[in-house]
Amino acid sequence: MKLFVLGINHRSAPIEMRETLAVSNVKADQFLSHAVQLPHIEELVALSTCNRVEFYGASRHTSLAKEQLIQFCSNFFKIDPFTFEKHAYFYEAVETIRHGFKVASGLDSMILGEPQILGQMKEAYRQASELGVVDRFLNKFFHRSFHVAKKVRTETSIGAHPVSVSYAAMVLAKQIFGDLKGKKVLVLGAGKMGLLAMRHLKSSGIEKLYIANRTLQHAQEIAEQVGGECIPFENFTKWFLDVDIILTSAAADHYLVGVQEVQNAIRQRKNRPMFFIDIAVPRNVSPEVNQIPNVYLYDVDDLEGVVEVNKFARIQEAERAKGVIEKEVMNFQRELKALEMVPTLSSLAKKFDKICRHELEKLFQKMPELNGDKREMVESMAFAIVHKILHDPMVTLKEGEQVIGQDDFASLVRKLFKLDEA
Amino acid sequence: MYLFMNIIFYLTLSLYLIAGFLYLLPFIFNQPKLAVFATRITWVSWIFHAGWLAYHFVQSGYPFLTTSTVSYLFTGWIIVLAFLVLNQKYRFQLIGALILPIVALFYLLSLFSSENYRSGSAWMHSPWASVHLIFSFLALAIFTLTFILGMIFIVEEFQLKYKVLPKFFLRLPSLEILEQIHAKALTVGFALLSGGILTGAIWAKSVTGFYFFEDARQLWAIIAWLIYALFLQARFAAGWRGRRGVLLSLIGFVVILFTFLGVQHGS
Repeated sequence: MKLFVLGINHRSAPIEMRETLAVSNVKADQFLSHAVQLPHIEELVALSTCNRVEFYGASRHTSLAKEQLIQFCSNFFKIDPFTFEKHAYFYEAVETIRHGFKVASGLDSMILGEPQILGQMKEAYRQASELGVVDRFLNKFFHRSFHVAKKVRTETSIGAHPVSVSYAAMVLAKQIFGDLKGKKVLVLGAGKMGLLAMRHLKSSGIEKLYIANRTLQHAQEIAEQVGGECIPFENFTKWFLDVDIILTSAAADHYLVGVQEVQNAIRQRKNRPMFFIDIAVPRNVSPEVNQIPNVYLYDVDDLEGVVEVNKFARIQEAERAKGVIEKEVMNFQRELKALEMVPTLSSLAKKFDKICRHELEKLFQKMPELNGDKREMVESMAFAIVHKILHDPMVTLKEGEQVIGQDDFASLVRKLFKLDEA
Repeated sequence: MYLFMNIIFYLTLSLYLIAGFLYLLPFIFNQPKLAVFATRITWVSWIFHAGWLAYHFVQSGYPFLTTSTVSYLFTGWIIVLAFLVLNQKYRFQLIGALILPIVALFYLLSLFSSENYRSGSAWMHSPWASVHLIFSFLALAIFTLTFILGMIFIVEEFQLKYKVLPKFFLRLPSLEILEQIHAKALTVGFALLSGGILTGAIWAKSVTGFYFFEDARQLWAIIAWLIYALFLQARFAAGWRGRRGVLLSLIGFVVILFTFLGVQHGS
């Protein structure tokens, strides 16, 4: 039994194709329960995110499994099998393990080291196991992948460095204020960028979100979407006393926030710090505001700077993460080999046992004069011979690292003793 | 037993230095696990340290802390305890890399300074002796801690304000937490210092008949007390949060250092 993965991702296939193959929850149920009935596919998990669609499976004949799965996909998704095959990648055995571990740790993601993929992978696995289409191999594989992803996260700092502007702003806010719970935020201008940052902030548990926008109606819509409160655009500086973080992304040809307003506010706030995130171009906040004590102002360039440094740091960390993964791949491969060996070992033992019993039976029929005690002695001698003969091959099989030609040891033994025919 | 005590002394000293070094490593090599290991070493060393002090107190009996050797070891022990408690709750690894070498400095102080606080005279028979000394050295420990917190605050504030963001920046506690702990610890230190000055005055009264007499250490202690009083007033009443307040407290610590090391009683 070998693991395999067939998939497309953001590097191998264009977005249209990823959209065609994307499987929603309902569709995935259908897909999995039908696909797993294919003769050469024993287990299957379908992982579908906006950047990748991957099918993880286990099969005795991976090349046949690949053909069948491609055929099945082309029928199921109404896609040309040749185009699909051209854009798809296919890994088997140890390559699958390496790929899976990388995906789970976010090393294969568009944003290096992003953590969402792990949750999506867990969800995909959960769905497949609820359907009952995963068994020993994929169970073991997925659990190990989650473990490795966690290990990568604790042993490297791949997730520690923010790589998007709005995420960087949030990390900085946390560095100034600690926990963002109980903090209040004012957002000036409800554009696209502002919305993204608002979502980031909202998910970090801020207490209150005020939104000021030139067109009140738009502000109200946004406020409803993200759960904030509208305030009038004309005198938003009044709220400076109350809020800790001010995010500006309004279109304006002059500074909307000047030194004087902030200085007044900070005096009345008794120097409680204020954090200005100015993602508007041209800028909304006068750069001189940063000179005021206890005020921190970051504009888009500053944030980009943080992001650039961190991208580099992440690439470095990714190298270390690969080291961690490589070690885990080796370990897991060894364990899988042992797991693969289990059925071979037991059928080998069974076969010998059967022969032994059969011959004993014949002997006892021919020699009815053998009574209780002597019968037992003959019996135990026969079993002892079988066990002693089997002992060395069994031990060698359990260690099972060697590979002869195309076949691994297990299948060689199966052929040699015709274990599959009985 | 003397040899044994010496062994414990140098053992704890080296363990603190090793732990301090290990706390520093994660920032260079990105091995967060080392910090966990360093904390364990610090705890072990701290327990040995406690054993040393306990044995010494049992041996020497009342009054406690009569020589600077023991007093500075006691101060170091309190600093490590405060650090370990804070480290449980916040990300204080880098602070470990700073605090433990400073604790090692207290070890050096205890080796090379051999001031006897009024020993052998009528002073030591007063029950106020140990009370005063315990207050004073607790205050020294807490002020040393606030000094380190203050320094880190100044550096981190500078980094955030002028956008010089190094890689390890993310493992420091946030500005707000640093500032709050700094102010709270200073309040505690201030109370202890007040206690030290007060009990010192009562002690002096019980021996000499005067609360105050011409004593340089008393004078400097009061100057430090005034600076810290100013800080607390500015911080809690006038809202001097942030860099200015912290800088003021750093000046206070310089005066405290001078009080303990620069002058002696009776001079």
